[in-house]
Amino acid sequence: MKEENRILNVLDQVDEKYIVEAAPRKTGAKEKQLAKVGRSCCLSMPCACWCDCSQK
Amino acid sequence: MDDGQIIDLYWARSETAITETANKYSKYCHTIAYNILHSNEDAEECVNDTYMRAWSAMPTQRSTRLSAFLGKITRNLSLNRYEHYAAEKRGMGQVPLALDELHDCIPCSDSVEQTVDDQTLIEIINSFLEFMPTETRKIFMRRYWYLSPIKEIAVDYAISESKTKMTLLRTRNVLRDILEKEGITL
Repeated sequence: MKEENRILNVLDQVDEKYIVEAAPRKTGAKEKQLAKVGRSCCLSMPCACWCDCSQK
Repeated sequence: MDDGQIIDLYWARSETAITETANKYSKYCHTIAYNILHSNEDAEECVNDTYMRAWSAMPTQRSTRLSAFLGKITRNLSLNRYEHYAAEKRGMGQVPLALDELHDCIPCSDSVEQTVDDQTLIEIINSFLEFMPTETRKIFMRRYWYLSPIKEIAVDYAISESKTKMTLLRTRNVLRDILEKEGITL
């Protein structure tokens, strides 16, 4: 187990940008979901405006 | 408050620095400690020790990436505590699983020629990380730096657990091949 432990310990000294990049709060489904919601809002907004205008 | 302002508070020796650090990073640090120790109580103690360590280390190490600086302290403190518990046969959390997986990265003993120092090994791993696709790199770091459970990684990246495991297996094999090609033993 010494070698595995060494990799685990040496990883502590890798470039900090990789640590920051992989931080749990920065990744994941939440971001993807937010992006999806954002995209659907952007897509539905013109439709809503068009419906609104056409009713007038 | 942004990281620069928090660091300034440390430099000014203002105790507000610890409050602001806790406000912004307690959850982040707790996640790291919990993944290793699998105990809320132990994780909380490590997080509190992190603030104390940051308080004493900050004057000589002005880190621009505060999250990584704090995360490293938490990880070190938690791994030290884990080793203490493992010696008492109380090991829990993700460490034994991650260590078991990392066995794949160990080059075959007949293909190795030299034992490298830590600095050389870090350079090799940095270069290995640099050329990896971003998502694969993040998954690798989540597993072996943050010691996150496979299930949690799979959820966060919206992929299946089996795909996560396969990605990690392939990545470990690539690292082993690189180490073997370099003729390195650990």
